[in-house]
Amino acid sequence: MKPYRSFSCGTQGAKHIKENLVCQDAVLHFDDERMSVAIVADGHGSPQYFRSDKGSRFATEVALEGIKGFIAQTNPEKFINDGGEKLLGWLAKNIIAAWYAKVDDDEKVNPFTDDEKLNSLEDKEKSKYLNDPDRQHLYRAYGTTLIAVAITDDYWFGLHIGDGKCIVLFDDGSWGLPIPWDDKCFLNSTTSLCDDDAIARFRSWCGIASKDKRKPIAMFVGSDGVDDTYPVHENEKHLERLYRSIVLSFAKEGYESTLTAMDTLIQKLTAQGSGDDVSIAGIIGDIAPSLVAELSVRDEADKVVIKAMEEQKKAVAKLQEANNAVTKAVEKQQKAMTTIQEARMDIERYKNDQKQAGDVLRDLNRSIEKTKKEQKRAHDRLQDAERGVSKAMNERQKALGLFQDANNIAQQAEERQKATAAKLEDVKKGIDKATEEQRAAFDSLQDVDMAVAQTKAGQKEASARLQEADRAVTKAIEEQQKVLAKRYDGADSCAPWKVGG
Amino acid sequence: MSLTDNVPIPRKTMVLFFMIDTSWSMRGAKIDAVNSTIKEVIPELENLSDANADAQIKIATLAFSTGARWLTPRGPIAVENYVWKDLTAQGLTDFGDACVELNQKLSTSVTGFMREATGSFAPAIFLLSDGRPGSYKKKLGELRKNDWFRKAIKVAVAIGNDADCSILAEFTGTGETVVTVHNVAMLKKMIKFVSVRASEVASKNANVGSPEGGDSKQAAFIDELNNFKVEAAASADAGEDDEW
Repeated sequence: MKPYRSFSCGTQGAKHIKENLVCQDAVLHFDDERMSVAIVADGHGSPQYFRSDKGSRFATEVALEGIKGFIAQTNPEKFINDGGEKLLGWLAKNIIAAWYAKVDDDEKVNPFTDDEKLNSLEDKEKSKYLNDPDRQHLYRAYGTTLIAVAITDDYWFGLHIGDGKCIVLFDDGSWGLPIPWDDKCFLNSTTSLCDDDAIARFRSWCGIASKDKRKPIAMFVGSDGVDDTYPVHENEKHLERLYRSIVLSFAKEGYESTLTAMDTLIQKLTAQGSGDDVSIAGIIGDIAPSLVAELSVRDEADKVVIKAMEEQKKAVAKLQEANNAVTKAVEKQQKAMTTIQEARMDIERYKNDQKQAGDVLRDLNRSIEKTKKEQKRAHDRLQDAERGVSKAMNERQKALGLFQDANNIAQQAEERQKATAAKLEDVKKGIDKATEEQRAAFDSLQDVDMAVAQTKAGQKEASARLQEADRAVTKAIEEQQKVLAKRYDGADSCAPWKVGG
Repeated sequence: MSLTDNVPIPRKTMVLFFMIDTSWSMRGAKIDAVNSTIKEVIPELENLSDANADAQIKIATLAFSTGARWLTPRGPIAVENYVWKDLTAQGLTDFGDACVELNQKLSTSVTGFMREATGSFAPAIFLLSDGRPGSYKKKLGELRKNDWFRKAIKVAVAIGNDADCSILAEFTGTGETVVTVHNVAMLKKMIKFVSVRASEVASKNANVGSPEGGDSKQAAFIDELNNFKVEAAASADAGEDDEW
């Protein structure tokens, strides 16, 4: 079919090369007399999607087969009459079913092994894959997005699940993102062919040549490695600029040259842009010279705008620098003001110190005057003292004479004292001798006293014995009388004897 | 001009949001430490941004006390052009208002701060607070619906024991990204680590093409944060007693 021609190119992500990860994108394109088809699939990057490179490849393959079969078997009139949407729903279901079948077949031939990325999963996660009777996690391992566009003489359509974008240039020069966006796809989150609700998540778009006012002149599908090269905000405008350059290249440089240039371009996109795998597929038609001219003008205008925006950014940066400089200057000014304020305070402090020093100086002068007076008084006192000393010296001289006299008297008294002492010594000796004699007399007296005492003791003992003898005599007499009494009692009991009577 | 030359590729941008409690309770050593440390961190971020082929780092700062106000009202500022202005502390802790402000700016609308953000680079949001905010639930609930917020790396530092860690965990989505500090030395360490490493992780292409890409960055950062917490606790000086 003419005038459309499809193309595709893809490259391993710069980050993937650095981390020794395989390219997880897959692209396909196809042309025949009836159709042109372009397909991109982007396998997920997380470890649990460890066969996503195969998943994306399977997706492009089953999508191409499905689309080819769909176009071959669908009566264009039926597509036109049914509006295409319902038929595309069936096509999406067929693609999902065929993808499941491909995955099943692959897993049967190549069951999951520990040698795969499964090793990098935690045990809990690993078991989900190894014990998966419902095969729920089987498909997850092959998870991928898919975008496909196709065009025939009578109609065109696009199918999309997940992220990445489909951008279309229409023959009226307008650009669009015709396949509705899925808000579930945000930043690195995406829907997937492996989702349970994949059928519901498929979005589609179609057009009919005989009904639509505008017809696609170029259709591009790109993986998110292309989108992520540009800001999220107005991402489509950035992509429009990118794809417009490619369209102009096709128009001006030709098909082969452009494909060669695109291989370099996608290397640049991943190296300087997203770092992700980058894949672009598309369908390009014959572009009218007027449209080429219009696109060229827009391209030039965009360059001017981009340049102006860069200048604006530079100006904003300079403004920011200026603001920063002002901020710094204000800070410096504030510091200077603070310094001045501190200096003023210092001056005030110095003035106070100076005043206090003046007061101290006056006090010192007064003190010096006072001291001078004290000094004069002291001088007078010194003179008085000197006179006193002179007088005292005279007195001393006199005292010395008196002292000499006293010494002489003392010497005489000493000699007398010595004579008296000698006499005293003699007296002492006499006393000692008398004392000795007294002691001897005393001792004799004691001997006499002892003899007297002994005599008295003997006298006392003799007296006691005498008394005892008396008592014994008395007792003997009494005994004698008793004996006598008893003797007489026997002779004359009526004539009592009376002892001593 | 060749096709390759004709296609300009903008440098990617990663926005680091500082969300700082400037309520009365932050007065003194806390706000002083925040001011001085962020000043010290900015040159490090600048070096990181210069050396980072993946993305340029920009800073947006939101201070909240009685109400919330942006210190970067015109949008995030490239770190090399950013001059930190010292914050002062006074007023209440209107965390809810801060959530509203953040929610408004986490968008690509005309006044949004995410107009330059690219698909691979979710923002990093760094919350510093020492208090217990008043009503905030509804406003935080709205913020949590924001896709940019959901994908962001979110970290909170609770300053002292008065900070309500459960609220901060509601903000970050997990208690694992809430760190409590009890002295100036640890606060400084955490500000430096979180600012630099969160920016580094968020501004690097990681796990591209992953449906869980944003979450994987948060998970990667949690791993690093946990390791740092252990190292910081082990290397704490004897003099680093609890102050707050």
